[in-house]
Amino acid sequence: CSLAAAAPPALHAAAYNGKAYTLPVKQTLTGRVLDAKNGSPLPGVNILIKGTTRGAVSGADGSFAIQADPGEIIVVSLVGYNKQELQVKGLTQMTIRLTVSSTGLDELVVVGYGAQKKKVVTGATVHLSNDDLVKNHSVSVEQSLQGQVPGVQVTSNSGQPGDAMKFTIRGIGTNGDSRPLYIVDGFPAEDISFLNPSDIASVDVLKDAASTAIYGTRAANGLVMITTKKGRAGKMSVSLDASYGLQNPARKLDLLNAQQYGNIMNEAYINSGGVPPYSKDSLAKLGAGTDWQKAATLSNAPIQHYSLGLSGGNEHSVFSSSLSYQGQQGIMGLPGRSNFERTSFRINSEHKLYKDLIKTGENLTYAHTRQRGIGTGNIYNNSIRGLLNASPVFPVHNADGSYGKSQTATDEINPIGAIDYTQNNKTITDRLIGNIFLDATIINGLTFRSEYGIDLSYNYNNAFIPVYVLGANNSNLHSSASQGMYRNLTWNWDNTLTYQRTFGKHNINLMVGTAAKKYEGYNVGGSMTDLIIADFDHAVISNGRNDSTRKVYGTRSTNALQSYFSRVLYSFNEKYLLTASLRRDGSTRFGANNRYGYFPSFSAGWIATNESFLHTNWLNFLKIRGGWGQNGNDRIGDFRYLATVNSTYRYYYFNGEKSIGASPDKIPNPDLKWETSEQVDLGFDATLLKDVTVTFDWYRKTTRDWLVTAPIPDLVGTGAPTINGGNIENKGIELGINYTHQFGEVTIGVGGNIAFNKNTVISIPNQEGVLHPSYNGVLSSNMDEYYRAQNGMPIGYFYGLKTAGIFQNQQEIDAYTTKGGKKIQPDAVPGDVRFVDLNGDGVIDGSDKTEVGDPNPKQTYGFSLSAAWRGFDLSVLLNGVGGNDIVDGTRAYDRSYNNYTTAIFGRWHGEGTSNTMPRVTLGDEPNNNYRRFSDLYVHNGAFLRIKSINLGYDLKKTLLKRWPLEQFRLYVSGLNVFTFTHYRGLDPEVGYGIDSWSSGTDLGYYPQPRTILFGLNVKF
Amino acid sequence: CGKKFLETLPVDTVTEDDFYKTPADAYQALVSAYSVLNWDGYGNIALTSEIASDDCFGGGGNSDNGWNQWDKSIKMNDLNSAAWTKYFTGIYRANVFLQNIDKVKFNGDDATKKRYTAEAHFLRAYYYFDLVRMFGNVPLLTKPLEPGNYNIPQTSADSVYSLIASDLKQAAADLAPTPYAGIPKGESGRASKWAAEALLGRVFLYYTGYYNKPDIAGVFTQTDAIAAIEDVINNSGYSLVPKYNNLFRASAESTTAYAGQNNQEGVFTIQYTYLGMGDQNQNNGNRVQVMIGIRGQVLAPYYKGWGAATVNEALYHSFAPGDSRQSASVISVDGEGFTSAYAKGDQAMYTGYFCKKYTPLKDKNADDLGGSFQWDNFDNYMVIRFADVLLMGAELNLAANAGKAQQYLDKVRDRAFHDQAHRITLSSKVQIMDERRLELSLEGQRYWDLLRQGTAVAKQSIDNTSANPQFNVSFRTATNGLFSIPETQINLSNGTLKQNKGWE
Repeated sequence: CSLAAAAPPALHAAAYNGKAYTLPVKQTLTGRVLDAKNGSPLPGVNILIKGTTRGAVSGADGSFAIQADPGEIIVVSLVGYNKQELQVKGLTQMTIRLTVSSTGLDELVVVGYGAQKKKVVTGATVHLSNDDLVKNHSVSVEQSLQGQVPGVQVTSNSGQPGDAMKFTIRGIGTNGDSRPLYIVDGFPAEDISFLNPSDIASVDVLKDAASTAIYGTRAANGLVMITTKKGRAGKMSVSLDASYGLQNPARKLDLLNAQQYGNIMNEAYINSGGVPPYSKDSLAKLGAGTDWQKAATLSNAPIQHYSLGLSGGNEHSVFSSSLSYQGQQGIMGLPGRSNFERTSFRINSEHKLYKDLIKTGENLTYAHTRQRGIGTGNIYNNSIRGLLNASPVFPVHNADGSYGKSQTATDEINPIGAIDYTQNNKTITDRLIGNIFLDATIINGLTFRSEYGIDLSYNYNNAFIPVYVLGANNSNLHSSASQGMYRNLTWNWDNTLTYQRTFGKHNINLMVGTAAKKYEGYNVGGSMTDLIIADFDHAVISNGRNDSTRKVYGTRSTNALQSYFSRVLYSFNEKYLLTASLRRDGSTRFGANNRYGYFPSFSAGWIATNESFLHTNWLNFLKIRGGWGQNGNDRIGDFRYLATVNSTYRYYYFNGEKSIGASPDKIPNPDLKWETSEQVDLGFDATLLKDVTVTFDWYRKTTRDWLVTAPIPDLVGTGAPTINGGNIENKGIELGINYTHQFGEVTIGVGGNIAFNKNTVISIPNQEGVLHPSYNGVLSSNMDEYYRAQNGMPIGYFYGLKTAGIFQNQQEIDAYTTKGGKKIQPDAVPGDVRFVDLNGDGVIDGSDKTEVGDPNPKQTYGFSLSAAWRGFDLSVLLNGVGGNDIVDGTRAYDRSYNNYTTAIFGRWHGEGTSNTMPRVTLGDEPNNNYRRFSDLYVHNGAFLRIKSINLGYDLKKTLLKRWPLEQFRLYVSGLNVFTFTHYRGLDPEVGYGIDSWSSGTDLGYYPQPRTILFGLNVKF
Repeated sequence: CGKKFLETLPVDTVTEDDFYKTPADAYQALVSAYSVLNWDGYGNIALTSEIASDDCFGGGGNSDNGWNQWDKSIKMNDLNSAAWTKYFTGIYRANVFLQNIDKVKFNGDDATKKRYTAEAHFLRAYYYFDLVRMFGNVPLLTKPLEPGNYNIPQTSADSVYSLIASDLKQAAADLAPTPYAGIPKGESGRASKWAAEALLGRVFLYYTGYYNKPDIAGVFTQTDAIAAIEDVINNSGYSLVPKYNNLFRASAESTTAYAGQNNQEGVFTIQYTYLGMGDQNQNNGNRVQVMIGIRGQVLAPYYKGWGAATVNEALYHSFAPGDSRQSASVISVDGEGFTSAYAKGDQAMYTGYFCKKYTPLKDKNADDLGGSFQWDNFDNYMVIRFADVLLMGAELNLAANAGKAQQYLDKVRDRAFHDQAHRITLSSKVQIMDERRLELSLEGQRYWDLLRQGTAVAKQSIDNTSANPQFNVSFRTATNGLFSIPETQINLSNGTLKQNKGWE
């Protein structure tokens, strides 16, 4: 395995092959190692004679042989099990039973360019095993981490199969891309959608800068180190995992039916001074009308997962491979319009070329994914929003099968028809990602490792628009097809030299290395209209007939990174630990003035329980640690430093003849430099009463010199420069507590984690101290700015008017005056909202806006519960967030005919009827109740979700005892079982925001499904 | 890897160091300044000012407030930011051209260099004139700003007009006196000597009227203005299209009778095309057309739009019987027999009248041509028509040469009425203003013609009271007719830019 190989030789025992290789004649001791719980043989166990270099590894049946003298101590260890030390008493056949470790202190955890025993790690890292990941049965790795790592927040932008997640570690620290860097088996990847969670052996989340600084520029937002499953010497092991589930929406918005809608509309017309559109007779005939949500719900949508694993090897070579398929149908849309499929094949292997001294191998995954989706984007491309807003008074289909048309307004369109006509697109991706490595021991303690990897993906997209008429202004008269193809290649080459030596009680590990990375992307595509055969199956460009509409485009882009790094790990007697690292990165994204950046880190730890004076029965382990480090970030576009002249969209057609223009596209900034993230972390890891582990961290992360588009006035006349500026602080604490204990035949595990984060923007580089949204019409086309980043405030906080109830009568309006007696809202009528005149100038306007909410959770937390008894196992996972707000922009207020939820029954409709919700109108009231952004839109976004409940039973334990199997487990799981929240939208887990630093905006959310899943795990 | 590993250059753009070398580069730099003429829709001064004038209301949909803001002088978020950005972008591109033109090697082809340079001066003046008319108090930029130094205070309108006049004078002097017939088709829409002279006349009349000055700071006098306009009238080769209706595609007697997109009357014409083919980023379509089109329906021969700038009934009734300009300018829903076919829907401020000039047509509509009716309407907009030049000639000559003034006015009226029986005896400027209202209705001149007669005249004309409060409009004298500077731009200026009076 790539990681163990870079680790100190003392940790290499797993690679020894069952034969002693020191010569002094000893006697042969043989034995077997078994799992204490179920008696199954344990292969791959390290057996080492203490104080010597003699070692062996157990075979597939758990047996081993080793040269040993009576009186010597043998140390038996296996990752995930408690280490045992036994004295050799005679030349007997030994049976050793290992118990599962609840603390994992001796586990190897992955750190940058190597691995370390968890015990001696000085950074803030969290280690999760495959068991933890598969409990959520997620299609994506990110989602499977939800609720399991304190300080890690995973939020869906949409519940549509295959849609990306928002993943942040320790709060948003940048105005740019805040995703962490993923390292898969040593290869840095920006996107891990190719990975099947069941292929993963373990995930290590590195949160603090002292741990991540070794990845310098690439890890400002934290590191997620992923290790896929590796083979072990011994017999061939085969595993089969299969599951099939049914998905349904967990929640439905309680929208008005047609009759209720008619009543409310009548009231709105009356309130707006119009004539009610529905007479008594016509109201009675409206009935229930159309339930658009129901019409677009795909009940019992299947989700499937099949995975076949094969692993094994001999003393020279080991391998692990898997073939898997995952398929998820969406729960909304029309059949076949929303789904995700992934088929992947993975093979990892390692070969010894010369003894244990030279090794080589590879980790390789090929993944094929296909995705189709309906609109989950902004207000113009959000299919769910259409369903939630459409008036219920026209049918899905007319009697002749055509789509029903709204009689209410010319610009209202049939939302099902819109899905049918405008959501024909698919994306097919083929991706090959992996690396090959060579590992050589030059002299004892000095190893060289070279690792070369590629991430090659081909991405094909195809879209089709038929001829259709949905409304007067929503039609397409010419069928069209578009096709596009991307080829992206990233290669990465790492070389490291590691020297590991123990001098008495001093253990030292020195590492130096270089890394180079290059990305090349190619993109071609085109479109044409008037297809000969106008359907999605035939939507290819060459099917188009109208040559004058042929469009083509093609681009190429490249960027590169060159790095040098070094690290020292020092420990004294496994008691005092020190780590220091330094990385130098050079990036093509910066000009010669600031092309290179330096990123240092220091950290130290003290294992207090290794001091004799701290040896107590209740405190088994205590490590106190602290660290400081710096990271960089270069995730901006290419050539932002350079003065370039652009021709795009600078044409002019003199009498229809095209002339191409060119002008500088932006103000260059040759001094552009790295964004720097600096972090201090203090924490401890402890084991209490043998079974309780506690991890605590306090951190302060400051990100400065953001790469921002400078807020320059438009009078400059060209694009704004990218500059360094802006400063943001995230600080908080994280606590994780886990308890595992075996009571006879019952094993119980309880875990909980919680993280508190406070996000504060420190300085925005303009006098105003404000970073505005890149675009204002997020909620509706004419809405004012509703979120911003501002000095002293959390990033992306909601910015609007405060309200103070509803005017109940004219006296209240007349009495609402300034000190001077000037009426503040003279245009209001009873039932309108009272806005707070914050600056007291007697006018409600933009200068009365203030903080009315914060989309960033102040707390994120998770709980887990597990129990096992004989063949049964049960686990429950919960996760939640608190202290955050959501802007409910589901209903578009600029279209008066849009439907309401039944919450509208709580509106003001006469004195004393409501003090929270204004009267209904056509949206034209002079008071602008909803046309101006105010706290009316803002709702508490806290929730607690029962993420999964799994109940399994292993038949091997009873019925199938005699079968040659290791496991035959059947299980049933419930996912997204229940959500406790006050939020009234479809789902409180709303990651959506237009800018990367904004979130918590609900424009109509594609709901995450509630799933019931049946599955099978077989191993033999 | 060596040092070179990190040295890359873009493949799809050139660096500034490698540009501005050849005449082709210079032409591209010039075209980039032209291409801003098309940045349209909410940034179109003709639409903005028509809605602000007495001839149109905001219109659009009941829930739209984008157009309403101009009609009722409501201060909205970032009102007018599209115009502000458009004009400063145009000015920037002209300035970049002027800054770099001397680096280009023309290899002795001084005529080309002179022509391009003159065009850049014309475009800078053109953009500045719209900008300063709308906002009054604007920063004066004659070269691109240095990085980091963006807070330029507003300057007096006098110095802006002085720059405009001298830019236009240079353009008029340096551009060849090629008559209309001699201009190659592929150069239609390029700035010409005639365009520069006609614009000088307009600038002169506006500045001296609005600011009540005798001339433009000594740069350009009444005598100069008369000479410029007379030159256009006598030497440009431009002339009136024989029938008024045939000036506009929507009111032409037939598709063959239509005078065409670059006809003999369009002294300076902004070029539009449908060739953006639905790509809204191209900004080469006429977006005013979709805005003024009849809302949400196709009433043949007209195509659909958003129903903005509904026409004031009063304008429709201002045309005398027999004036062909009435039916050529305004769609009367009842008058054209659409009473039962028309569906009001959510049309706001419905008056029964829509703009006819430049309304989109079903025939050759952008959708059918492969574009989109939203972005790709393609009717060219005549910024300055020869009829306008004649009326300017009449106005300028009124005091000194009444006979000539009368003659110019007669030409315009004779065409409108198809006879000489409807001539009026010219005795006052008011008559010319009334004629301008009818002749140039809905073409973006009215508001400025009112303002240059003083805010009292503007207020008297624009104020509107109606039984339906939707149509209540009150001109805000405190603003002097200037528009509000976008709030975001003021905030970004770190206190340098000051909001216009009446908008604070």
